[in-house]
Amino acid sequence: MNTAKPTVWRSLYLEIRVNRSAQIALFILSVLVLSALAAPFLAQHDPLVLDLESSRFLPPFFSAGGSFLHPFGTDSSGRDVFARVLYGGRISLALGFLPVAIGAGLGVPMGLLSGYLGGRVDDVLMRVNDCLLAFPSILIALILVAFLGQGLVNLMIAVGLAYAPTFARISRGSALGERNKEYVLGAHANGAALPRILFRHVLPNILNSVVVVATMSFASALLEAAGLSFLGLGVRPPTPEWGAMLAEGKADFYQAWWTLVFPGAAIFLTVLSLNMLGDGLRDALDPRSVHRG
Amino acid sequence: MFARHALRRFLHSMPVLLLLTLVLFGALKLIPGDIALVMAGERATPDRVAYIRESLHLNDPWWIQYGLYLKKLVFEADLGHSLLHDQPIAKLFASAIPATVELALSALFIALPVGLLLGVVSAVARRSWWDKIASLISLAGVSLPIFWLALLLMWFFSLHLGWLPTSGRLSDEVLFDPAADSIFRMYTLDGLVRGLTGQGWDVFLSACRYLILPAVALSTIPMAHICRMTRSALLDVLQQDYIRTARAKGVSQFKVIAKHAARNAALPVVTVMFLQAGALFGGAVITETMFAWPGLGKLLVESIGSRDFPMVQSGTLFVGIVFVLFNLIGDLVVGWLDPRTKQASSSRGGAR
Repeated sequence: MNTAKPTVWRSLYLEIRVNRSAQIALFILSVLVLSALAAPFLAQHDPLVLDLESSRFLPPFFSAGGSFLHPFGTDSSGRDVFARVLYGGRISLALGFLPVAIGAGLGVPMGLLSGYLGGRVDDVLMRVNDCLLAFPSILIALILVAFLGQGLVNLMIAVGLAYAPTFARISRGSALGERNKEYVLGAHANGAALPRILFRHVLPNILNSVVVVATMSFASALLEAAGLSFLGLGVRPPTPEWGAMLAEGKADFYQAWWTLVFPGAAIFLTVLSLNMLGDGLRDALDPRSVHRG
Repeated sequence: MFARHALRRFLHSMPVLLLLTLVLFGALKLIPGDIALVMAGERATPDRVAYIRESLHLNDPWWIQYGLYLKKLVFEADLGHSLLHDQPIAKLFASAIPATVELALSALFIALPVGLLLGVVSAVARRSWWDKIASLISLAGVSLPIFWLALLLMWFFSLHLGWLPTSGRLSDEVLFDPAADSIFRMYTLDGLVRGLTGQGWDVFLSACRYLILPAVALSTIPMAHICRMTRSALLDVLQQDYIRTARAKGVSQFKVIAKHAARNAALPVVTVMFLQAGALFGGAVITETMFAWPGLGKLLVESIGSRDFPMVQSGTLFVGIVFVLFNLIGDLVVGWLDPRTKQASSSRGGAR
């Protein structure tokens, strides 16, 4: 019965082949990720080295007085903005990706278990979950940061925990739909252990929805982590991170607009592409969505 | 029937709030080290540390502490004392909450018409250039970091053009003392009342000038969600048979949309509006901090930054209660608009 069902990768490929905006999004994302990875080769300067004497507030290359020595200009401490944006990409992208991994790692098993077992367990778990879902995730992250303390790792944990309820909700719904299907009942009758049923049999069938939610969450987690860093509650300067860079540049944006425009544009482009890709993935992988752009 | 359903849903949300108090209470225990020392700061006098330890009942076992905390909250409606501001938290809330409500409502006031218009246009002219532009705007709306947008708005409208102020709520030049003259603690409303009663429009105009940039920055997210939801809900409805029947009968395009389709498409849009309360507050945290808008979000960020834990606890609890209430009201409104969901939600215990 299941033979005609295309795999996740196959349906992704088919969708992206016809979806222009998903192609653009994928292209932009690849450029951003690759340039963050290749930062040591692309940037001619160290992102942390200060130069307070000769190169404070140099404009970007296309402005009068700018040069390709500092393509995006320099900030108030004479640091190269191009290098900081590239190196910052490593941290900012990780701050989007790792929390999603944490959130999915916690939320998916919980949702699967809750949906599969049903009954009392499900009622209690989902009531708590609904309560958490009612909060905007940035607020949950904010509170967790308040109690865990600030810093890179705590920020990741906080944002990750804030996303667990979303994953629990979606995998619970799917597990509920799968639990009375014949293949699951068959595995159960064969004496398969609970984890085996959940992860080997149920999980592959709901992977599509998880991938879609993960892409969308990647975008908003990145946005939230940058926002928290911007508020001074996450990554601290001088670490190059896009949100923290904006917080630093805020003070002198009248004389050096480029210290704000480039990191901000990097966040915007990344989040925009992830959302565009997420829309495309949803069209490809989620059979319930019928409205194509 | 409806009243019973409402009561049932209300009672269901009580354990959630109780759990929230327990979590907030427990969170304080998770902080490593002596909490009284942490809260007092490194350079606190021993007296100050002892005062904090005493006021939080830190010398008693935890269940007594929790009981006392609950008793104070429920029976005395005592939200505690802010360490940072050295004032009762309830008093700080009394001025911060109206500020946040004013900002959030103004943002919705901008987001609703724009979002609806964009959504309707893109659904009606599906796959046209209008649709593409509207989709792009709504996509940009969810993707723009509010803090970046706020900075760009400030740079352009305040520093470059010099039209609008960057921070605060009211100009110093206006003869208006908020502590004495403000009735609503929302200066636009106060200004409106003063204008209408013949005391001049200066307060209203000044309040609007200060409100407009933060409100625009905050409006982008709900605008995008309302636009997306309107589009997909309207597309759903427009495909149905009764719309085709109406068109076949020669009903004009405008009438089909405004009379026949709008009513059925409204339901998901209303649902999204209620769910936006959460997103609006999340955005308000950043917007308020950016524009020095003295609301609840700014208060919360400040209290986290300065480790004012009683404030964090009470602020979170308050926001939690508001969210639970909003979800409840949203559920009830949707159930009232659409009787089908009412049955579904009461049989599955609040699952949406």
